[in-house]
Amino acid sequence: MKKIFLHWGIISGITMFFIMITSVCTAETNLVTLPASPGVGFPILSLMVFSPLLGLLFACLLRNGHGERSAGVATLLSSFVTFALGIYLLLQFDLNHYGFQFVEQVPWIDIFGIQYYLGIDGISLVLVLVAILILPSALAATWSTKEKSWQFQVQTMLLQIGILGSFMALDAILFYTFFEIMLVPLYFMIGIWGGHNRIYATTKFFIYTVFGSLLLLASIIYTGILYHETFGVWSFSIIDWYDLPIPASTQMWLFAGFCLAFAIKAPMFPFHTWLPDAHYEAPTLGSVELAAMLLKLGPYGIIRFVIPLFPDAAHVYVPILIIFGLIGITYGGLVAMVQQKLKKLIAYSSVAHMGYIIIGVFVFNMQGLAGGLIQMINHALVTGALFLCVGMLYQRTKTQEIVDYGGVAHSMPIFACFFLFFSLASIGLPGLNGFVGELMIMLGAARMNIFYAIAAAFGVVIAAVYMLWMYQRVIFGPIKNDMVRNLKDLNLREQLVLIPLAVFTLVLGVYPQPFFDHVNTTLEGYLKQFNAEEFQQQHKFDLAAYWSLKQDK
Amino acid sequence: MDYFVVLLLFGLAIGLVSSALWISFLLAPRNPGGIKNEPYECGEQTIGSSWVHFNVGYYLFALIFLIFDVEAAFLFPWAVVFREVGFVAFIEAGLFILVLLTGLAYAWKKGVLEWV
Amino acid sequence: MLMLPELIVIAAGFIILLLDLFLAEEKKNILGTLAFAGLLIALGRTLFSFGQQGELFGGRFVVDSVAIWFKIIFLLAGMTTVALSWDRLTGKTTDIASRMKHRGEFYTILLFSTAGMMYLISSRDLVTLYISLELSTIPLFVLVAWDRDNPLCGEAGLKYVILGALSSAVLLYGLGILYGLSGSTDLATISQKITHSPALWLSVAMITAGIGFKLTLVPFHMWAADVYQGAPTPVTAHLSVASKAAGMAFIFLLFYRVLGGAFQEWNILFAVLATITMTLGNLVAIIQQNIKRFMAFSAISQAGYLIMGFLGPFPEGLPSMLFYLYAYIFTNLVVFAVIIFYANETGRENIDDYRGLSRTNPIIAGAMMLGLFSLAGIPPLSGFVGKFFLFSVASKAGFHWLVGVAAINSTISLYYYLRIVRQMYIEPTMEDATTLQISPMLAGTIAITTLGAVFFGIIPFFYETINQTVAASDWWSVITATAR
Repeated sequence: MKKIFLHWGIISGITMFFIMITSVCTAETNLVTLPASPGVGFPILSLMVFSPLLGLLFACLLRNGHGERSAGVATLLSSFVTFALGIYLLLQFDLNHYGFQFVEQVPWIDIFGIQYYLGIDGISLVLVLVAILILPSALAATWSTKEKSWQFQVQTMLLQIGILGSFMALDAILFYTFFEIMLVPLYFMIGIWGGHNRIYATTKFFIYTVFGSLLLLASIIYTGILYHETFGVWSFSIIDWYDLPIPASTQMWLFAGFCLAFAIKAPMFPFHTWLPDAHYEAPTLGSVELAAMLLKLGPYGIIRFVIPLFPDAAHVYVPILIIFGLIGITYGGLVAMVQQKLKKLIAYSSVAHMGYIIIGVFVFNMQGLAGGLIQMINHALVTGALFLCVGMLYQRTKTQEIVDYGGVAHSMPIFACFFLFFSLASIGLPGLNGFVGELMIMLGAARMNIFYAIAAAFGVVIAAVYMLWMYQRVIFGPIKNDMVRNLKDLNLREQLVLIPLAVFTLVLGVYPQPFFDHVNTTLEGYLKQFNAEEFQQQHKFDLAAYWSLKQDK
Repeated sequence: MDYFVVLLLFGLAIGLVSSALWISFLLAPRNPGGIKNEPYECGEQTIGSSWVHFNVGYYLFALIFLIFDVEAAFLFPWAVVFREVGFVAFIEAGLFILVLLTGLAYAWKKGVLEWV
Repeated sequence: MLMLPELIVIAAGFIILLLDLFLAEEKKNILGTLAFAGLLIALGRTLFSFGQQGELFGGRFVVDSVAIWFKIIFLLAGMTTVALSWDRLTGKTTDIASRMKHRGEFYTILLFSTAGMMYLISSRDLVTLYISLELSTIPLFVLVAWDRDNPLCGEAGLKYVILGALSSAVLLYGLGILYGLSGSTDLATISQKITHSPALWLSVAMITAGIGFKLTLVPFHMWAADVYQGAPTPVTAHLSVASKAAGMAFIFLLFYRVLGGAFQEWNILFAVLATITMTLGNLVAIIQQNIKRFMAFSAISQAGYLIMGFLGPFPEGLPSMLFYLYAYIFTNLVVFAVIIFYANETGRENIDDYRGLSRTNPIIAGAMMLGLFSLAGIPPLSGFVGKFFLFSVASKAGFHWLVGVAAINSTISLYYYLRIVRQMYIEPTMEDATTLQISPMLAGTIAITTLGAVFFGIIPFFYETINQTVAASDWWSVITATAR
């Protein structure tokens, strides 16, 4: 197992390094910054996207010659570099500017107008920040597991490049490239370091996702050609595409193509079946990254591509998709209730949570979008933390079966506290962040149709049932066996990993204003740009009017 | 309409062949027997196996002969108009012969020209 | 001087043939060097002739940028085949059964075939076109049956000869009808004189069938699996690359140069062929166990993608097809180089035999993985960029359904390419696996082809170079001039 990923790492490392150097060099000379776009004097987004390369290269170079943790140190340090850049990004971010900031624009495949085009707005900013917070936590949490091998670390860094790049890319082809780059490391993470049934799980995951993304590619190409036919120039830039009038009949197809890819990624019911398998078989870090970041690309893609580009089709599809979201909430919750394995339970709870986010995104008003966005952050923090907790438990006991546990609170009190905290956040207890997100989504849904909100509220009840029941079976009760009795509580490293996540969970629940400050301008501008009001009017279900109509009869 | 003739020819060709086969199937007396499956159906019993290998040299000789036969066929027209086509054609014919000579040299060296 | 590259290749072939007769066995290494050097010099000369246009023999032999791009492919394929067959011909393989004899003749025949392909793309006359096609094909029959003591190889040779002859005959009928309709063998004259008639479509159908055989288009693909499996692996690699490129060159000449004006009418034919080719190739590839058969079906499906480049009646069509051809030969040769390496050392050719290759030979397994991912079209490798261009062409031509079909097919193809990756990386290592030594020739080939497969995807200027140089050729004006 020693040398497995040397080549893949080095080749892709050199390749990426090449892109980075060229992009940075060209950025110095022909950086075309949009007139009204704030930024800093250097290509900070490129640096951030490709900063994991540092860790990747060092992990490859150090591999096993310098102690078995050296690769881990390298990747952890490089993730801190990314984190520091992210903090700088946050500080430099202009809260009152609508549009993309820190834009970097360099021609890539000039003949087709494909660019290396990065930029962020409020929506991508918060997701990028979560991405750079989750990775070091996950790296530190899995410090002493089998995932410490340098080959695994290389995969992690590649994954991070893909995630950050997807959130920052403003060119559809560039987005697609990053979107696909993510798959390869995750394929290997699950396939090599996964559980018993890993090959089935990883193949299923890969095929599902690639199927969606190839339809995405076909749709991207078609949209690009439509742009070329309309304006006579090639462009794959999303910002240019926003001005593209697309005939309604065409929109129906393109919407389906784009939305299927993101629905699979999200995953939205009924395309969710890959998720529980992938989660269950994946190693802890893979699960965390999958739940926290990869799933977010679904709603993100819907916000960034689907609704703005195909508003007419959205009018038609939205009720169906919201119904799917509602089914996802209920179905995910009910299936989670009967799960026998910890990770599968949390995986199905992810399906339910993603249902909320999908509803929030598709109701397309301020409350819904802001709620969907904060719920994306919540889900990343909370589910990520839950997977970390389960990973910590699993590392000690090597079992996922809920029946094997019982009375863990006696031997691991600190763990029990953290686990309770995150479980409650996952349910949506007032005062914790899950509540804020779910409340706002339900508000948004109620503005469109009160029944959506009522149906979604049932999901919270179901969530309380399965989460608390699981918690009770695992943590409470008498100590069930020797395995549980001999458990060691969390050590300092593990606590240090969970504390920041818990702090953010609490802060977002009690005082979410800073979050809204960062996304408000973007969301307001976004909703105005894409005629959210008109959309609302069309889909508004006026209960009072409906009621009085019935009375008149 | 022009192609009706082609179609007609096509149909005729198929019809002729199939009818010939069919008529012979109808009219011919059939008396199958083991001896009819012998390779030489001339009434004589074959002596020994009829699956014998010929010396490969026959084929090789025939091939070499063919090459020079064709060469001659090419060189006759060239020789007839030799005065008109001039020096360039002379070079070209020389190259042509050279290529063939290479083949001959190859065959010679490989022992094709030696019988036994 | 326009014909110099071809002449160099042929001269090298003759010199090798004669030297082979008189050299002692232990000195015959020089033959391979000579073959490689001949191809390399021809390649240098070809590269040097960019920007030159010209014709010989009254326009029967034309050199333009399109021809040069194709000739580079043929020469590169020839050079790689020399490199790939090096160990087998010099008897340095660990697996004795995979050694090959008669190296002088092997190189000679390979060079003649390459020269035939080079003449093919420069021809502007039905007669030279057909003769150069045969000059490129007949040597391949011999190469396929090279290992004549191996029954599988003999069977492959026989099948290839018989079906190849059949396809040549059908093709010749098609060309004959074309001549009959126009009264000329000159492509430019034909393109002006032909008119719509059932005979023209009969001719088009026959030509498509004949050349579909070369390109392994479904339903003319039946020979591919057996021949690919039976032939010596370097020859299989050559077939999958050079023969396919020659077929593309032939289609280009006939369909763009002669029938280019009637674009709208025949591109549906190619759309349907592309659909069934890629679908069948992909579905059958899933169940293959032998890696050479597997690559045969992979090559069939890739041919389906390739002819998507012929759909578009606009200037991007040909450059996209050329780019994908380049991406395809590099990535395909990576995979074949690894297959040859593994077979040379262990004699194993089944997909299951690749278990744990990543642990014994990580770098080689990594190259193989990159090659397979590139074939499947994972960005940012060259296969992805190539597919992007081809999909764009099909989409722009109005075949949106075909893009959808191609996208679904890419998913299927990913599944079976992943099978090998899974064997190499995830399955437990073979019991008797040891780290295998790779010969410098194969190592160099793998390195160069892998770099090509990766960098064509990332550095876009290659496509622009193709596009700019190809624009200098007159192919597009031929189409627009005869457009109806």
